[in-house]
Amino acid sequence: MDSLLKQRLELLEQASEIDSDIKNTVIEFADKFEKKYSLEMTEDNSSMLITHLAMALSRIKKGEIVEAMDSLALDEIKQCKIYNDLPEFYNDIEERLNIILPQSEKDFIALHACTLVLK
Amino acid sequence: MVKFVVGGQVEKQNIADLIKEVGGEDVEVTVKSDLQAANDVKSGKADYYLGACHTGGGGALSMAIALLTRAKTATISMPGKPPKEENIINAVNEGKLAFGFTGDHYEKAVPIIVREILKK
Repeated sequence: MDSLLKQRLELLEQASEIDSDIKNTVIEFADKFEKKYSLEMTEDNSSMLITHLAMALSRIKKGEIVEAMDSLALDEIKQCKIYNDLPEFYNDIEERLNIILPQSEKDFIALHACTLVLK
Repeated sequence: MVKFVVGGQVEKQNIADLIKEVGGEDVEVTVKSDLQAANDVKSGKADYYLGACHTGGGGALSMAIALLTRAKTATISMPGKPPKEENIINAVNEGKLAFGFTGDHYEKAVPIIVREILKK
């Protein structure tokens, strides 16, 4: 994860939009993602995924729910070659933050993760 | 002349084009990253921030919330919850400076936001 992505997370933490547990969880997620897919997460390729994930985790911690994604879009995401890898990342996040990720949030995270790997 | 900056994550150029189409000579529009765009409003280089993402509450507004505070931002739509004109009018009148919505709602949200801002 490059310094600009870390700066994003720090700004969100300073503004109390996320807490330090979420910031650290997102950093750990990024480290694991980079290793698994042999890529470097940067401001250019990953700002959407990192920002979305941080805000989604904050939303889940507060008990806010987002509506499910359009089913046609979801069908397309399910064709992505890494889609079936993602539960291991979700499990880590759930254990680390002691939360349950709703399916609607998993789908949006998958959308951004698949977009990054396909770039 | 009202200066708009488009941040967010999706439909950025389409949003900018629509702001220009609605506002004509009365607006100036720039497309930037969400972080740069929010910073422009904070530093006074731009008057208003518009941005879209897939959920309306993620990348559309998060950096604007971080830099401008939540009190200056308004989420105009979310998945399955299209923009409501009355909410946009209220948000503009309350002095909100940054507006976030989902990418599929920009065609409905942008004209109302721009029109209300130009009335001020």
